[in-house]
Amino acid sequence: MIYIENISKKYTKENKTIQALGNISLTLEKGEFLAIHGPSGCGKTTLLLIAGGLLHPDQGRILIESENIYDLSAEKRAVFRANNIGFVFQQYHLIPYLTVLENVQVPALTQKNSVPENKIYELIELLGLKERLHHTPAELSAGEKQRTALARALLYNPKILLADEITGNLDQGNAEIVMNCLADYSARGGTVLLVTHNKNVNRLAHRTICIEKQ
Amino acid sequence: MNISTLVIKEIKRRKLNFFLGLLSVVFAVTTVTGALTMLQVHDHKTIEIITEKEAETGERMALLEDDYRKIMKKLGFNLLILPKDQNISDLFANDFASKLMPESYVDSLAASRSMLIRHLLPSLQQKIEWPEKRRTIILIGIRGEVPFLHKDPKEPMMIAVPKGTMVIGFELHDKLGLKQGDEVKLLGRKFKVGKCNEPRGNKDDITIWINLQEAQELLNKQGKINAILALKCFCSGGNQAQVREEVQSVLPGTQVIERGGKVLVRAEARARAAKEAQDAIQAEKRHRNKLRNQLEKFAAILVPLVLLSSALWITFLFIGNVSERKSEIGILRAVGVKEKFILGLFLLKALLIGIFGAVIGYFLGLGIGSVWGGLFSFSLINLYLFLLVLLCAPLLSLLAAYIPAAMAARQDPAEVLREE
Repeated sequence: MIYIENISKKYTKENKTIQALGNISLTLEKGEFLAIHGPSGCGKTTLLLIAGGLLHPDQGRILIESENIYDLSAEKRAVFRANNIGFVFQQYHLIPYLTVLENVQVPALTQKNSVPENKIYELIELLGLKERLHHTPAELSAGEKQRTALARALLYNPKILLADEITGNLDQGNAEIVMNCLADYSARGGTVLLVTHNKNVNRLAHRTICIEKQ
Repeated sequence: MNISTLVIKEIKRRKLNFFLGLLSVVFAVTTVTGALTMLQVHDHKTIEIITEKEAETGERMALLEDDYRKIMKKLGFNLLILPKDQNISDLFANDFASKLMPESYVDSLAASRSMLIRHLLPSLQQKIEWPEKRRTIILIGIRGEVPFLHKDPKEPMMIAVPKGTMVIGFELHDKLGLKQGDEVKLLGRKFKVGKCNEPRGNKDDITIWINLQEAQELLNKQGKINAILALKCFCSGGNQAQVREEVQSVLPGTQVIERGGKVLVRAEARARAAKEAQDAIQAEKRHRNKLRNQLEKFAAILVPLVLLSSALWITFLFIGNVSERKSEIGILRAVGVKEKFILGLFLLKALLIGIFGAVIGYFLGLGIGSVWGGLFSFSLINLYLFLLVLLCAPLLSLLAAYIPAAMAARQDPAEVLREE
C-alpha cells in the first residue's frame, strides 16, 4: 500500500544544515494502523509530510499503490492527495470563518462529486459534533476542534490517514474518542500513519516504530 | 461549498480588511471620477456661459441695429447731384466731376418746394497743377449752403470760404510749411491761408477750398459748377428714388447718386460691434480654456498619485491578509486544493473590492464633482466613464493584489504545517 524507501531530508536554516530524516524505509499495508514515536525533532512530522506528498525528500521514494508520488507534477500530486490522503494535525488547522459543517466540507472544494448530506451528518454525529454544526472554531473546545479536523479528513473516506500528534492538545476523554475513531477507520480498511509522543495509543495501533533523533 | 462561499465568508470575518481595501479603491475612483466630473461641469458651464454671452450679444446687436436704423433715419442720407452727361466711372477714378452744369441749378432747386432735401452745397471741383508750388491739387470752389426759400432761415451747415482766403488740406500745408495767415499765390492770384485742416486720410489732404466765384474765375468757368451736394435728405421707407424723381423734376439735366450710403455706414458699425462682441466671447473662451488647463494639470498630477497610492495600499493589505491566512492556505493545499484555487481565492476578493469600489467611487466622485462645480444634472452621468471605471478599478485591484496572491499560491504548505 505505502512503500517508503530510503527517505532522507535535510533543512538548511541560517547556514546550518539539520538532518531531519536519514535513510528511513518502511512499508504499510492496507488497513494497517502504524504509530511512530520519537523525541521532538526526530523528523516524525517531516516523515508524515513527505508521505503525504507535501514535502519533497532529498532522496528516496514514496510509492503509494505503486505510484511514486514525487514523479507526479505538483498539480497531479494535489489531485492524488485529494483522492487518497487525509491529514489531521495537532493544531487542527480549521478555517476560522467557517462553521463546523463547512469546515468538514472543505475537501469538497477539490472534488467533482459531493458527499451526500446524510453521510456528512452521519460522520458529524459519529464524532459527537451534532450540536456544534453551526459553530465556528472559536466557539469549540480543543476536543471538538480536533474531531472537526478528523471529520474533515475522513469525509471522502481516503485510503490513507496521516495524523500528527492529534491527541497532543486533548484531554483523556477526547483523546479516547479520536483514537477510537482512527481504529475504527483502520478496521474499515483505511491505512493510518500516526506520529505521536503518547505511548497510550500503542494498544490501538497494529505496529509501533520509534525514530531516533539524527 | 465553493470558492465564492469561502471568499464571502472570509470577507464577513475580516470586515476591516475588506473595508480598508474598498476605501482605497473608492478613494481612487472618486478622485478620477471627481476630477473628470469637475472638468465635465466646467465644460457644461463654459457652453452655458458662451451661449448666454452669444444670446446677449445677439440681443445687443439687434438693439444696436435698431438704434442705427433710427439714427440713420433721423440723419437722412446724402446725395450728389451731377450733370446728366457725367460719367460715374470717371467721377470715381478722378475724385471729381469733369462735366459742368449751370450754377443757377442750385438756385432753381432752392426755389423749388422740396420737402425732402434739407441742405444744398454747390461746388466746382477740378484736379489742377499748382504751378507756384509744383503740386497736384484738387481745387474746390464753394459758396456755402444755399438756403431753401420756402423754409425758415437757419444756421447754414457749411459757410462759404471768404473771398481772398483759402482753406488748405493737411498734406499741402504740412509739406509746404504753410500756416494760417500766410500769403500764397494760386494760379497767379494772391490768397491768405484762412485755415489749415487737420489730417483726414483722404483726398481732402491735397485739396484747397476757395470761394466759388474765385474758383470759377481761376478755372475760367464762370457761372458753372459740377456738383451739388444735397445733405440729410429724407424719404419715407428709405426710398431714394423718390428724392431722385423730385430733383430731376426740377433739374432734368442732372443725375443723382447716393454718397456714402447709410447702409454701408450701418453695416460697418454693425461689423465693428459684432467684432467687439466676438472678441469678448473669444476672451471668455480663452479664460475658460485657461481654467480648464489648470484643472487638467492638477488632475494629471493628482490622479496617478492617488492610483499609485491606492494600488500600494491594496498590495500591503493583501500581504497582511496572506500572512494572516497562512494556516488556512496550508490546510487547503494539504487537502488537495491547487495553486490556481488559492490564487483565485485572493483575486476574487480583489475583484469584489474593485467592483464595489468602482460603483461607490463613481457615484461619490460624481456627487463631489457636481457639488464642487455647482452643477447638478443627470447629463453628468457618463455611461462610458462608468463602464470604464467598472473595468479599470477591478483591474487595478487585481493587479495590486496579484503579487500577494501569487505569494500565497506558491507558499510551501509543508513549511506552514511543520512550523505549526
